[in-house]
Amino acid sequence: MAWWALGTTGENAPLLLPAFVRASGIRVDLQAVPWTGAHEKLLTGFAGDSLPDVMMLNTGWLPEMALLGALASPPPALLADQLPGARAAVTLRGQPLAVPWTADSWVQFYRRDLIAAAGYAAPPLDWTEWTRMAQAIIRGHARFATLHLLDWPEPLFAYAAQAGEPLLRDRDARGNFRSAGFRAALAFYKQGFDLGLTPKVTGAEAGDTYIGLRRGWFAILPSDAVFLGDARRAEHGIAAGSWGAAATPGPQGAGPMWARGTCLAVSRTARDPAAAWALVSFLAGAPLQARLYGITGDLPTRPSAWNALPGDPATRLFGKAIAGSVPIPAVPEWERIMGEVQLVAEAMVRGAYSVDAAATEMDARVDRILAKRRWLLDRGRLA
Amino acid sequence: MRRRSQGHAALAFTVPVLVATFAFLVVPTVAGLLLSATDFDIYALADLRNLRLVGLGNYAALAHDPAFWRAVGNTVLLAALGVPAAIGTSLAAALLLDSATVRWKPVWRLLLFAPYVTTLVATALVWRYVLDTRAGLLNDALLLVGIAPVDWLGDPRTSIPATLIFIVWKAFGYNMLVFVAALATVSPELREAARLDGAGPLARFRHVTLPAIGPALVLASVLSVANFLQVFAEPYVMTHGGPAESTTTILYFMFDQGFTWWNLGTASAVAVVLFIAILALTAVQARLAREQEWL
Repeated sequence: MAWWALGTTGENAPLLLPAFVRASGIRVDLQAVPWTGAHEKLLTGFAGDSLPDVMMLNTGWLPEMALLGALASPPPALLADQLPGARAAVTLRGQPLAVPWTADSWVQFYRRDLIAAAGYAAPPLDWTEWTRMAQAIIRGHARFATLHLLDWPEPLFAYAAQAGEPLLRDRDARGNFRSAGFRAALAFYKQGFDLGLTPKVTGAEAGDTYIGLRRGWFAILPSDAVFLGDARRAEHGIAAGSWGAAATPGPQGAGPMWARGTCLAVSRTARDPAAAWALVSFLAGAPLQARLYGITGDLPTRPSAWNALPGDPATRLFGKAIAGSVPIPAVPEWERIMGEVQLVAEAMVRGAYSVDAAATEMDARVDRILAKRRWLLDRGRLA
Repeated sequence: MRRRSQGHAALAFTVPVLVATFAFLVVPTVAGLLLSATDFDIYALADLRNLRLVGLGNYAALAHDPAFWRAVGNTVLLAALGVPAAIGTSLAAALLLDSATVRWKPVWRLLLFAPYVTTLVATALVWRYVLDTRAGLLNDALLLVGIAPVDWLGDPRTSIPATLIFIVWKAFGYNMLVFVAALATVSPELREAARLDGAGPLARFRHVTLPAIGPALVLASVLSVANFLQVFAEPYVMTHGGPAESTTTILYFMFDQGFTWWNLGTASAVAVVLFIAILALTAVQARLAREQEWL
């Protein structure tokens, strides 16, 4: 049986499998796929009729996989004991498509010493005060306050979530990036670069972000829960107790965050569906979710697994953020829209657009991407 | 009888090749041409009834797509700088290798040709380290002569030159060998005669060497133009088309449209445009070469 697992979780998946193979006698052919190539590999796999039996997916890709009809419906029993947000994220038009596996959010991890040197106990949670702190940091011991890599859509979209306005409008068939809320988020994002609070770099040039944090190149690293696992590993050199976690700042204090996470799905063409669901049932079970947290920092989607987690502040912060998360727009084009919007944001940071011109350009590009969706909706071919 | 069996043998030899050419060249080319007249996308991948015939619509959309023109601009810049740089480097290397004063010629030939046969992805990764802003060898070397560190792959103004250094380093070995072979055909008597008649090094190159290697030069230029218009793997590995889309080439744009987002209609239209562009440029080069009587 073939299983594709993604990113750091995929790299550590070999640690999880032996117990399953021993108990069931089913041999699992595991392929770890890095995040960067995963999306195109899945689509190519579908087109070439070579999807694996079991696949780990970014929950945000489910509308796409649902459109393609690539996934088998999970047995209802696997969807019991799940956080409401996690179950909602795998359900499209009332139909569950996969089993939630890991939940995630987006927070700021900070170096206690550099924040303290700027005169703060923790990063403030509203944009105005946060900016004041960031300016104090760059006057002090760090070259930059934070790191918003120009090829990461997450920071901008995290601020957009705080602004609380829908990103698409008109049956999710047009961009809504000219809304006052999104423009405020965009202006705050741009200001970070204009004031020199974050370097204008992409991931390729920034290199290892943990080295940057350790050397005091910047003081705050916004990240998802992968930091929790990485901070425990000696090779990253992040001393326990040297860092803290705070929610993403919002216009008036921290607001909601997008629901993020991964799920496990079974291909409609799986050779042995019963065996495939057995593997999913094992992997998505509460004991294994709690164990996975211990290995990678991936957070559980089952309340019973959360009970087994340590009560440290960073984990509790994630628990709170995940419980209050809001769903991303459920359109197959979402991944592409995020990429396109970030390209415009990068051009804006490099001086090609003002905030308003960038928002207009984002709407124009997103409307082009959604043209086919509008055509299908108008003809009733899309629910 | 004999003639007929010869005919059978000829058929047996040619049919497999013809079938393969038809199946793997003619059919995909025609399919690509047809696909470029549709809006094949993820919705059509899900259900073919969602496929629309758009005629030349994809081409019209490309003409108005700033991202496509950006890719065209980047590719033209790459080719305009890269073709002369690649041919100049390989010709200079070949002339050096051809010089009577150079010893250990096979060793030099091997060393200079080695980049061409190494794996592209592996060497691209090595060059990423060489070009690294904070720890790269190139910036270390520049620092020795007092030049401040350059953000080679991170700055949209230097990303194309930095990518070019790598591409030229990787590719010049092939043309160099072609030139070395062509230079070997220049008769020593002719050069000696020119020298005795009082021709300097430049005049000898212009009137003796250049006419002899003319056809090789045409070949190198046709191949280089075609290769530079199809640059893909280098930016894919080194920069992912960034920063700020400054290394997104036509082929990278096509790959992104086709395989990342499954807009195969758009991607096929890009392929057709690129095919026509390369065909036209090759025709121009062939015509220029005929005027020089090099073909």
